[in-house]
Amino acid sequence: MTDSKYFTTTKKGEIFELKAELNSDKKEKKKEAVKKVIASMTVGKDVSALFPDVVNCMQTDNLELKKLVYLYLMNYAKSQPDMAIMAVNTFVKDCEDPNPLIRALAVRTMGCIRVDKITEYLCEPLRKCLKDEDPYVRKTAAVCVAKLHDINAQLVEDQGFLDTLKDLISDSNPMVVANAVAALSEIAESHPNSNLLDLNPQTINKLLTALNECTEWGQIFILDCLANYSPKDDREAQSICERVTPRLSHANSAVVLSAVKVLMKFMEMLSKDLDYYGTLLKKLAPPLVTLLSAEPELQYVALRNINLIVQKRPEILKHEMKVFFVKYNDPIYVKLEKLDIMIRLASQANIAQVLAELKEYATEVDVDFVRKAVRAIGRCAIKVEQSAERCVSTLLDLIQTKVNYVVQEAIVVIKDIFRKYPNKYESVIATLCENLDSLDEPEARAAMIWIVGEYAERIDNADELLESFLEGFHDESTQVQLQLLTAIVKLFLKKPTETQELVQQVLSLATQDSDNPDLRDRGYIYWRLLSTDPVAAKEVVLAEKPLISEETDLIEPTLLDELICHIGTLASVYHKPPSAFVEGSRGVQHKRLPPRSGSNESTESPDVTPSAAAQPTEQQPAVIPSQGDLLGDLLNLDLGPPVNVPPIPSSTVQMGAMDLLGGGLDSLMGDETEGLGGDLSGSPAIGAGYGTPAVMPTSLTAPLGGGLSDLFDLAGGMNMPSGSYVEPKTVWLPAAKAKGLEISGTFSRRMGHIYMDLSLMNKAMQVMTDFAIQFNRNSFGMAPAAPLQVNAPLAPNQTIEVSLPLNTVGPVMKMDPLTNLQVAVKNNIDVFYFSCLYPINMLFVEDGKMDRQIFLATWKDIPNENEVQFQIKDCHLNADAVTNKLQSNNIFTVAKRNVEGQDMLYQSLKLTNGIWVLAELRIQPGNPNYTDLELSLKCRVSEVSQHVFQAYEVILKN
Amino acid sequence: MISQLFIVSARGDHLIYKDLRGEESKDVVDIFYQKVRSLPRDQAPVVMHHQGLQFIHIRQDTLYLVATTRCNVSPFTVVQFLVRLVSLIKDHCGTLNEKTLQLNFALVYELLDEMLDYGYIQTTSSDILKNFIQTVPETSKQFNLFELSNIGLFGADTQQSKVAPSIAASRPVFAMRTEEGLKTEIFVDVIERLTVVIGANGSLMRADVQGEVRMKCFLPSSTEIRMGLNEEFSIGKADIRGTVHTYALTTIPPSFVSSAKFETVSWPVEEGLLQIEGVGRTVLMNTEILEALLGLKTDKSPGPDELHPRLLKLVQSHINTIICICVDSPFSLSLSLSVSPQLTVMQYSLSDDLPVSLPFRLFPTVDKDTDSNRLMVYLKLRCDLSPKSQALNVTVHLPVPKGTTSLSQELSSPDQRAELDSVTRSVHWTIPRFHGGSQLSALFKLEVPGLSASSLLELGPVCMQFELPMSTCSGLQVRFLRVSSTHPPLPHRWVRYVTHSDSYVIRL
Repeated sequence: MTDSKYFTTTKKGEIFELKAELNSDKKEKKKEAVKKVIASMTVGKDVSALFPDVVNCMQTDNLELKKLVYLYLMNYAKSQPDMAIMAVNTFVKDCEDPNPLIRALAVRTMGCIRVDKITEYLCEPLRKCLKDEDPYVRKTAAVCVAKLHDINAQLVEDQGFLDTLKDLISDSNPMVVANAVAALSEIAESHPNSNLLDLNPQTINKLLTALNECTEWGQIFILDCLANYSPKDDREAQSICERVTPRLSHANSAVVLSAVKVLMKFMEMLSKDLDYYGTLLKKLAPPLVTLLSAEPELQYVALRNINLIVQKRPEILKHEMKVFFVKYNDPIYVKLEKLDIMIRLASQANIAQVLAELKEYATEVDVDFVRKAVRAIGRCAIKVEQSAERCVSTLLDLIQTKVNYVVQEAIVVIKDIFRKYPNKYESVIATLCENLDSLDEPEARAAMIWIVGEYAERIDNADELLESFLEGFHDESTQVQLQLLTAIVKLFLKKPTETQELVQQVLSLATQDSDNPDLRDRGYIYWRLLSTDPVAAKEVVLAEKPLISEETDLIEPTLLDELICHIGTLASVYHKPPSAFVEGSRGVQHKRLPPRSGSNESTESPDVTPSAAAQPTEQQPAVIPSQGDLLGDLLNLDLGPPVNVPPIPSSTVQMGAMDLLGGGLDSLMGDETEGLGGDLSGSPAIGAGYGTPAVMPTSLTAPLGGGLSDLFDLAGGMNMPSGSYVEPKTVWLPAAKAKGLEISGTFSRRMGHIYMDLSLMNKAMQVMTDFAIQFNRNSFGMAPAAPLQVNAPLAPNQTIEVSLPLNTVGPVMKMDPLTNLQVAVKNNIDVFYFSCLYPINMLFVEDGKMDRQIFLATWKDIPNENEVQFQIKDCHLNADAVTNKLQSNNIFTVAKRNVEGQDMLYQSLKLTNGIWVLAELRIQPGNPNYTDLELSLKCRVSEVSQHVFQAYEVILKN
Repeated sequence: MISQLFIVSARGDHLIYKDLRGEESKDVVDIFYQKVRSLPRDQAPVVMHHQGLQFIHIRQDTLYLVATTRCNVSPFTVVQFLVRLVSLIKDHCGTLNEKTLQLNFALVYELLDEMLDYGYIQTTSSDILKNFIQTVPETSKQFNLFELSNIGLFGADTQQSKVAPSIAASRPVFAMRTEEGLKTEIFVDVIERLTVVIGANGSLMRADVQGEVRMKCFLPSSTEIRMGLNEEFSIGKADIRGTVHTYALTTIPPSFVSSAKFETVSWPVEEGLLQIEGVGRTVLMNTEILEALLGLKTDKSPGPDELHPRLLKLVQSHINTIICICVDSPFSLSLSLSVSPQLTVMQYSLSDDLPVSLPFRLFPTVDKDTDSNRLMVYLKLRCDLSPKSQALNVTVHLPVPKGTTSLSQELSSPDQRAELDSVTRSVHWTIPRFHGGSQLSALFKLEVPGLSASSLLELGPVCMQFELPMSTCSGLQVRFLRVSSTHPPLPHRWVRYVTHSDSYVIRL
């Protein structure tokens, strides 16, 4: 027999030949013929013409032949539905066969024939098979229900198969249980709201029992199913964990990771003080380490998962640093992943060891790996302060090698180190300058230029150095050009006498010879600043920069939590939520970690945060120049159209000026950090500056985007009303109840003060005088800051508008609802009482912008059960519009990220009593089907969340 | 759940194709093939995706075994499944290559039908599957020397092909029915991989051994095999030896274990106790469990840290009984196996405290002559194996400074070779055979234009690759291998050992 027997090329007559053989009387010949048919099918030839002949072979006692025919049927039944009916009788008969193998085979194949006409014939045989005495048949039938459901869901429900399937969860055979769970899980996914897989303590117990007995694959189904369960309390979580832990030593790594997923999820519910919590942490390390002895491909998958686990619970692997050291024969993708984990695990305790390793890696051959190793050294320096000095000296050693790419990477990271530890390591600048000529990558050039500009006063020949770059200005990439522009301006401000020519040169290069709008705008801004007010320019350009943070490229907490729920799956390899790569309904629902139930932690007092937030508040004024009249000067510049600014009340001008500077400054800072911070991609501190609208101390006007064009829009901007949303007035006190006095009103926030805007209308016949107002104690201590000023007596049918300034230093009493305000108004006739609700956004203060790091920390710190989610329906705004709208109401965007086409805005706001509210807003731009915004609010005092949500809704919809 | 499963050859031929859920078209096979051929170097080849369809594959010699899915499945599950599929095809067809697949596609489809239903994995156990399989395997008759090499180390290529004394490696385990009269044989391979990092000052920074005991038997069903490991084999830290209690040799009748229906006994592994799960699965115990089972002592609390946490893991499913007996030593193991095709019996790992000395030590001397731009590297390499053993195919890689233009060498014996590889900028020194207790030396003169102090940083670290036949670094040895055979011709028993270098790095 030759091996080419089945795979010879089909000649014209072959189909006929096969036909003849299929109809042969000899069993052996038939079998060979069917095999040939299937071989042709595998290589992609069309043998559907033989359908009737093959089906004729179906009625046979020979199991091998029957299997072959069934294989053929599964493939072609769909294209020949009429013919497939011919097979039905045989299926029905086979389901009654005394041999369980044949019964199972029939029921398995039936389900794979996806022809609608056939399905109704299947129900009876399937019903019998679900109750078959042989577990092999039952487990096959269980899967068949899922197959049938996919073809005709209604039929399955009508026939009551789902109930039978549920009963199978209690089957005595673990394989049957596992398949029933798998089938139910799949069916449940297409009915998200059904209670099909009703996980209650009883079923969980059954599953846990089956877990001990079924095959490794069955264990995986069951563990994955367990992971979807939410235990009612920490005790139940612990008992499930105890019964799942033995899976950790299973030889099949898929079982191990499914068990890890269950444990990581349920651990969330256990109190950290529990002894058991510590035991569990200890138990998790060995199986994770063992995963690293697999093939490189599996190692990679394991490392991606470990990366998540390390971010969530670094304590698990903190003693296992050594296993992440790179082996010289690891493939590059394993090496890079290991490096990343090494940095995440680096701490003061092991930093010496880590650095020694990294230094070795930096002299290896593989360029990509070496680069990453050099960066890793820099990240160590930023992460572990004690090691910074050693890291810097290691980097200097590496620069000495003069290996081009090593030097460039080293310079990029050293710049970051300067940002983290200013005025500490500047002594190395001289060494860096020696390598100026060898830099050929834009990122490294930009970093070097930044360093020269930033420390221009300490570098004697800074002007020469920068001038040398200027020669090829137009050939440089944008980031280098921007950096060069900024650096020369910095140099000019530091050494104005010697560098006037240089700065003029660069400004004209940037503004006149460049068609890059970013560069041009930045050039103009500098030019104007310099020509108007060098002092202000100095304060803007040489402003103190925020320190960068060690928390580089951490996955954001909500995404991380979701990924933890998907450990061991593709999502954990891609580090993306399943919805990003899975189409359709399957697995798209967002999973979240259960809240911790050892609840003593959540009762921290709400006024912990203000002290932490005080720091950024203090920093802000330093950034804003105090020149009130700068605006006028700027507008009178030669370039602009002759705008004669009429004298405007000075306070407004001041606001406008600040705004302009705020916006402009921010765009400068933003661009700058983008240029120099690219390597720390996603570094929060840098990201916070970039893409975030201005740091505005008093943002009464809507934020201006920054840049040149805004200069001209300013006139319009100045007359803009208060950006904060004000509800229309409503009648608070009807005339009938107050002897003819009708009071309607609303609240507004202007210039950082709350006002109660009242309309008093006299519907009585007599004149009203002697107005006075008083508030009852209320939740936020709101009280009139001045007496009610009604100067003239209120004549009949006359209306008077009054604006009553309020403060929030009055006596506090919690009201229900929270924003309820009881007011008493007195006039010469009587005293009247009414109550009204004030919108909570009146209480959002202007310094409610949280520093990004503090935001991250606070977000993590606030217990998960305080997180509340809302949906804002039918909102057609994009992220920028949302940001602007909210900002004018003192809801500040701390950061913005784009995740999988969705914009995520991270926002903070502060109430007058110092309560911080953190928010995550998910926007799907450009998708007309998803006009709903998802809002997650986290606050230590969760009662305010509902009101904040309402404020969001009102602001965004108006 | 898996949506499709297919096998493609390295040339792109479709060998096996099975659509499990009727969701996809067959075109994806070609899409996969194009994607896998154009994969960038730094991207892990584990998962790939194309328009929402995920490909998970493994490569087996010249074949790609691929599963596709549209769900967020566990890549571990799929890869493990594919690995099992490979070993099952080998069990049934002898080897896995294009030819055997073409001969046995009906059998492979039959296997797949039983292993997967609607994309859900049903079973991968040979024991269960053999009840369902009807098709008789066809083996290719020509014996091919080159197909022998596959003894299936963790994916590392072995140079040990000559060790296999028969055509066993390519023989299907389940062919017994039809091929009466063939020898009964059993092979036990102890395979270890050694990872070592030696610091520049000569201190040992890291030493790990990952080991595996594999077995392949050609024996009639229900043969009992008992394997004993050496008593000195200690896992965990050396000082544990003294703390373990002494027990008289206890044997548990196999019937005891197989008839007992345990609840899961699960003590934490790191507390010195291992687990028993159900019947006939992972059964690995130490003395405490033994006690608990036999009722010798019931209220003894487990001692602290008697076994190292992550040491032993037994592969379940084929093993009926593993009896662990303690006789004046921390650990000795006796296995009782029922029908066992090719399988991994045991995996273990040791770290840091190796019971034997490291196989190689290197004494480097580096001389720099800046004037003539010449670097002299003198390497003295000593093999610390016992004089009876030897190392094979030793390769020493020495990375050299960039810009090295030429190499001249003085080697201590003629069968050695050394050459400069300009791509990896390193010197390769190969030694075909290296006897234990001997010492070799090499002098490399490198011409490095523009030699500077920093060039020295680029020198090293030295990486070594080698193979140590008939020796283990963990000290594990198979003491006895008893086969209770009812038929007179006693089976041939082969026990083989090999240690491979996984990553043996010496820093300069």
